[in-house]
Amino acid sequence: MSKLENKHVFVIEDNPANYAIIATLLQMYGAKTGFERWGTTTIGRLRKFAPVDLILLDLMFPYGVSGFDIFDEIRACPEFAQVPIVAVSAMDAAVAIPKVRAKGFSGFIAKPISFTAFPDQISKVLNNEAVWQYEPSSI
Amino acid sequence: MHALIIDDDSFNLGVLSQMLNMEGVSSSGVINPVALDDALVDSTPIDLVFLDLEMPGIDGLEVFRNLKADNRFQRVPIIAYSVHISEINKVRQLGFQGFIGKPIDAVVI
Repeated sequence: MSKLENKHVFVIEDNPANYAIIATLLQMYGAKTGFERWGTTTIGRLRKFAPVDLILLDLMFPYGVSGFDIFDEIRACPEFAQVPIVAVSAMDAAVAIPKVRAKGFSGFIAKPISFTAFPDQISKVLNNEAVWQYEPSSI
Repeated sequence: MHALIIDDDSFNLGVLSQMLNMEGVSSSGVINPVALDDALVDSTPIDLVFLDLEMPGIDGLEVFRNLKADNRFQRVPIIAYSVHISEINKVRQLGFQGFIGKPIDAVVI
């Protein structure tokens, strides 16, 4: 249960139930987690949480905020320019994956996340392997 | 605000704790309700209790009665949560302040 031991994973997700499940799974495998909810205070919270090994980013937020804008905001900070960012989204993967690949994301994980596959997907990304999940999991 | 979560399932306990954390509520958890007294020895003051009704070895309703018999909890709201929605009338009669069916709806909390 320690494949993510001491990895620092920052989750940007507005839905508390989604965040809670992701954070609990990550912590069960040894990771430390931080979060940003609305995408409006991302950089400040990232700096408090740093060092960061991986950022998980939802693509759709309320109040006109988009995951792509948050991506740009993170990349504009030199200290986070190299941190892998993975999209975790309920968007249609066939539509979203080409967009996030072109943008420079390190992977796409479909919601709902699979409780069994998710820790391995995170582990792979942390080992610089690509994770592009086209089919939603059946949980 | 600080909540106490009593649930034998560490995953459920973790999820509820993280949801509360996102809403700015800190929490402590008790996985083994039989050892509840030990867990409460040096706990921070508790404003709210979430109690799973189905745990092995001890009946959630018995835990509720024990808590209500304890001076520290007489004025603390206790919210039951269970997959069995049919329990709602029973817990209302017993004096619980709330009931949440599992899986938990984050928006309602």
